[in-house]
Amino acid sequence: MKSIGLAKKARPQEEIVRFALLACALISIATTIGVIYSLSVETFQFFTHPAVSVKEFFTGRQWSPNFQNNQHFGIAPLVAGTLVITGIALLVGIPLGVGSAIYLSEFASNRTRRIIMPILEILAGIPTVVLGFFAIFTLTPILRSFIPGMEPTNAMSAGIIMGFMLLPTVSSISVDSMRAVPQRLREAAYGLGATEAEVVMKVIVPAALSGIVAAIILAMSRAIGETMIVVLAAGQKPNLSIDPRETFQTMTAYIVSAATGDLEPGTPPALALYAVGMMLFLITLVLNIISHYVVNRFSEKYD
Amino acid sequence: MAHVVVPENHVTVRTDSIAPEDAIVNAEDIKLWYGDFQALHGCSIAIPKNQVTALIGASGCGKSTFLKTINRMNDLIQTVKIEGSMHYNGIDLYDKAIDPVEVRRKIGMVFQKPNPFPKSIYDNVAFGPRLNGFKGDMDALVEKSLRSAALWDEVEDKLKQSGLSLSGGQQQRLCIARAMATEPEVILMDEPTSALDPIATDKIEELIHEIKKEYTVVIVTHSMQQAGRVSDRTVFMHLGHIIEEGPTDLIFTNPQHEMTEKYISGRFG
Amino acid sequence: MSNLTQNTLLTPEERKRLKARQRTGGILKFLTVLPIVLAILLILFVFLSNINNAFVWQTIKRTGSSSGMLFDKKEVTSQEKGFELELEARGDDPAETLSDEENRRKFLLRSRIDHLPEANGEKDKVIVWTSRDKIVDQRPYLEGRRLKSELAAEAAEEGYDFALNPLLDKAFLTRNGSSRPHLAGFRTAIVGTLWVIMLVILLSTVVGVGTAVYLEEYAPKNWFSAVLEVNLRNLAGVPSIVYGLLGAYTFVRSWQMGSSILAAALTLSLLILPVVVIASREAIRAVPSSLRQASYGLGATKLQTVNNVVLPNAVTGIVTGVILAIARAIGETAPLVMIGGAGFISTIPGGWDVLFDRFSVMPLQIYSYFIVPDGNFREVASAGILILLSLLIAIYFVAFLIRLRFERKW
Repeated sequence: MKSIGLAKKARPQEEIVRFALLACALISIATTIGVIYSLSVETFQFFTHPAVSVKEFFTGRQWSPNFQNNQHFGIAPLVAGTLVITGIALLVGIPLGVGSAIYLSEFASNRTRRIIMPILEILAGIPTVVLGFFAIFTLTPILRSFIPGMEPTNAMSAGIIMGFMLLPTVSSISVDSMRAVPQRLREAAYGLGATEAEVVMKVIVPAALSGIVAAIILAMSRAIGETMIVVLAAGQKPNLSIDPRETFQTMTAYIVSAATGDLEPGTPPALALYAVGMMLFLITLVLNIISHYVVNRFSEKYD
Repeated sequence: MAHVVVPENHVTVRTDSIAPEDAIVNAEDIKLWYGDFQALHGCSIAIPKNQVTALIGASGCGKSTFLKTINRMNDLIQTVKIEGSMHYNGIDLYDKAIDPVEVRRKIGMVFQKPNPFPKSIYDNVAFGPRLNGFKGDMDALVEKSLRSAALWDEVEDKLKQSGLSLSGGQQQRLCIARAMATEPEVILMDEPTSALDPIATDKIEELIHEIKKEYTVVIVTHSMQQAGRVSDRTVFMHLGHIIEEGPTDLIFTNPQHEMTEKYISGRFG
Repeated sequence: MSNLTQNTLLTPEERKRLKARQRTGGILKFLTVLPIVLAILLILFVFLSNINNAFVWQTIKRTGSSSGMLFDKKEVTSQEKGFELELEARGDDPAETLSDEENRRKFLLRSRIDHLPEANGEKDKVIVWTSRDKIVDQRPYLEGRRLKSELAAEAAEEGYDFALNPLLDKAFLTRNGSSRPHLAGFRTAIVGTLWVIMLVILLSTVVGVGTAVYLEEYAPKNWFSAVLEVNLRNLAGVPSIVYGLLGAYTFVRSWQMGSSILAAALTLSLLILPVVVIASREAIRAVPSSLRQASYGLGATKLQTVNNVVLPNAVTGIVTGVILAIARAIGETAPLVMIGGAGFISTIPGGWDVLFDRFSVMPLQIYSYFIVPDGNFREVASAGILILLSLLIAIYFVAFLIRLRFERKW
């Protein structure tokens, strides 16, 4: 026992390293505190500003922070923009993501899978500013050529491209959960005379459903927080509407426009940026927590 | 065990012969390769209707592989190549026109580990019939199947609960009920009790006795005692060959081949 | 009992039904391949549309010697040389105009040289100084080619010149940023990205791998470790723009770093930290515990075991994880917009206080082309996008090779 005590004294570097590693780990905690603090300070200032009312923020229907005579801070139009685009993105991204996951997990040969996985990784790696450019300069002109009333910046184009952006996220998490379904359930279904597709649709997908739902919720959170695609392709006009052909400003797009717009610090429009950021942070946080809850609560436990 | 070599031209020792009209499954010269490895070297047996046939042998002897050739489960493995013929009621199961799906529809299977779906007990049993577009009274079919598997009394009031909530032995009986619900003629069982405790094993063995009135059962087991208890006929396999087959009591009391004798008396395996 | 004529086990209805089931299955299988095909098409489409935009054809109408002309490629070797040629053609003295600060400024304001891609390359490089809207027409590659063949007959008589003027050429990489589309270069952005990413690699690897080692090898199983885990998981889901707000408030303003390289690097490091930690933890966890026990069995301390056994065996996974995280950082735009990264800066970051230099990075530069009202920047943006995408694909390819080469043996 004495030797252990000696060894400890002889190796102070062991303790130093342990401490240094702990410090590294604490940086992530500091980051969270930093995020919450930096958002809270200005958000608090925003809500306590005489020109702002909390009630209007949550229930008002007009967002016009820069109109001197008609200044309104009702977040509804920004939320509408975010939801319309997120909705379109999910409409596109869920079938693409889940479909490709089924193919990769159940139908593709190992060889094909090894080729396709890196391709999806590349899709996931395309910077969103690039996708935004593609949405506004390539996809939008195409859509406008056959959809009447489509505005030059619109929710649909941004949403469709965002759906493709979500594909790899939804796909990879869904693949993981489908691969986690034990082989013996596949055997059981084949043994009962199920076709390949029936095994997938009636056994594998239901058994992996919690993972797929979690993937979708996570994708939703990513869609809500996505910035560059909407800044480029969806426009900068607060719009309380559900028509995907119209221009919308999302929460993230407002944050960008406010940050690049030479606003005087401390004025309500500049502070609003942080209040909107706080909303964004809270919404995505709740979605992430739900996503994890779904995985833990509803996933089947196999021995 | 592995050092005991079986000559490639080994001829299966048969204590009796089965009249073709009594056999429901007829395997002739089945050879099977996993890639380059040959797992079965020309296996031929006839499996008589409404009897229990046990496949025994040391692990790795190919008994599970052979079992799976009967309902074409090996087709699911990409590298497998099969030669020979497998007739079921006179129909070649490996005919080009035959879909493996219909084979498995007629020849059910129960696996080593209980594998109920993460669905309700009811849905587990109804799974097969639903696939086949069963039009009759589903409730009645589910009840009948669960009764046949001696599980009805235990699950009668919890049909909506997950199949995974049952004990291991109950799960395996659920799987047997599920297999019977598609109304197959043959049920293959791949070491169905290897994951179960002795009491649950007893129940399954009893059940096998019961169901052979209506079904033909082929069971793979690593336990000779079990083969002795449940089977009418026993097939002894070694290194991908069928060494000897015949009525169980004969095999156990008077084995003809030296290897069978050694295995039965526990001198190897 | 036996029926030798039959080649099915099923009744005719069952047989029919099975056929239908298999058909449905076939359709389903096709439907699951479709997303992959669409994804691949999108990637190709993104590439091709940017190539189409970056490689433009210019149609220049010859309207007399005074309004437009082509210079031979040998003459125009630099931007400055282009100015000289333009001044000569106008009948001014280049040396006089360009050396005088005031005259130079006036000239540059009026100069139409902005239709000149750095003209030290191919024959088709053009200088034009007439009003561009009338005389010079710039079209994406495919459209330009079509126009060229349409005008082919007229071209000879009426006087059209066609020039393939890729905006993406060697000079684009070496020119600094500029507010004129055809003089805009990517050098500032490339250098900025290099500086920022170097710092990000340093910071995120040290802190990320440190955190991973702590969590996997040191952390006791208690509430504090659980908090760390949950916290990391949630950080991974925080939108990047929120990291931008953190950076803007904390690094840029509170810590008074300004919109500097350091602030950008810190922000991006925090952003990719959870990704690095998760990848590193997976790599560390994949090291079999038998190896650790063998090390402890030989009397090694924890530190020695981590250094000599765990990290060497996990290094491939860690490196791949870091590379992929870095690829993400290279493409991030929103957080850097928040901390005030510049679109156009004319000086290259460098020197002893480089960390506090203002900066631009590639995606930011691309975004800045979008903000300026000049439509010609769209083609410049495509040139930038091609460079950014090529870099990222190269990075992904390296990660792919590493994974292929060092796939785990145990």
